[in-house]
Amino acid sequence: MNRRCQATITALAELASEAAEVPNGVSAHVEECFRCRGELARHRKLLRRLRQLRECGLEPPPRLLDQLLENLSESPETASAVSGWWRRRVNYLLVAVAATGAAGTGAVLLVLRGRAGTRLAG
Amino acid sequence: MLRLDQGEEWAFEELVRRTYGDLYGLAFRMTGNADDACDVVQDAYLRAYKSRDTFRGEATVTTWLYRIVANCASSHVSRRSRNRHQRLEDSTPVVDDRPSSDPETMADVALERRRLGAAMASLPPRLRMVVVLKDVYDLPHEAIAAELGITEAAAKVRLHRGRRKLRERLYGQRRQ
Ligand SMILES: [Zn+2]
Repeated sequence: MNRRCQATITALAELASEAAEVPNGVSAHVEECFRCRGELARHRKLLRRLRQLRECGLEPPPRLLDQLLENLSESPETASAVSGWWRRRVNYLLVAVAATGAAGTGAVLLVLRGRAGTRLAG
Repeated sequence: MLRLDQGEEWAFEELVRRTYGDLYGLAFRMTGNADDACDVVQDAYLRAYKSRDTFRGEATVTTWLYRIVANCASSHVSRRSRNRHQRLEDSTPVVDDRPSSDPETMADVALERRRLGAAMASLPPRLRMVVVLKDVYDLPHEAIAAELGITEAAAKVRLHRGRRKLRERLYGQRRQ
């Protein structure tokens, strides 16, 4: 690789985005150099692929939202901001327990009350 | 785009529900693993709530949260590195045994994404974080530098080095 190509490849690595213009100082060389045209194409492709990564979301762990809200409800600073979440969750669980019948309901209710009591009191 | 206008009631729980998936994606890409990403997102929401008065209407909430995640992830990765008595540069590279294959010719888009993901994961964290913030999430250099605690010039150098390494790993080593 000659010095001109090396300088060009360094300049191409600094392109701000896929759509950015090739810098004036190296555009003439890119036009006439097969190797540097390839570098430019690969560089633009890389930037395009990277930008697309943002659109293909990463699936968070299934329990993450619940864990976040639970932990935030336990933190003194954020408890009041997410307390509604905990109340709704307790209500939901109570309804679910009621729907499953009387068996074991008493024990589950005791556990839930104990837990809700500690959180809501905090 | 989610916005919180000044004077509007701070709907924090709703904010968490609407943004946690996106923030997890950013945190995962910056830290390189799921456990760290979950910790970072947790820290970020705590910090966001505590500093909610610093949110200014001219930025989107998303951008504001991205910056907080960037800062938390950077601290997290530094702390983890120190704890393991490991230098940031020492991350184990993911070996790609097909360095000269051109992803464009592969029919399987998912495979191509996996290769890019593996190449990203193989970057040293200090380079990967800048590439993720600039080229994936489009944060300005000034914001990246501020959240990572480096100069703008250093952010640019890391970006170019990170891009170069990615290109080499994905499209093969150019003969020098
Ligand atoms: Zn050339």
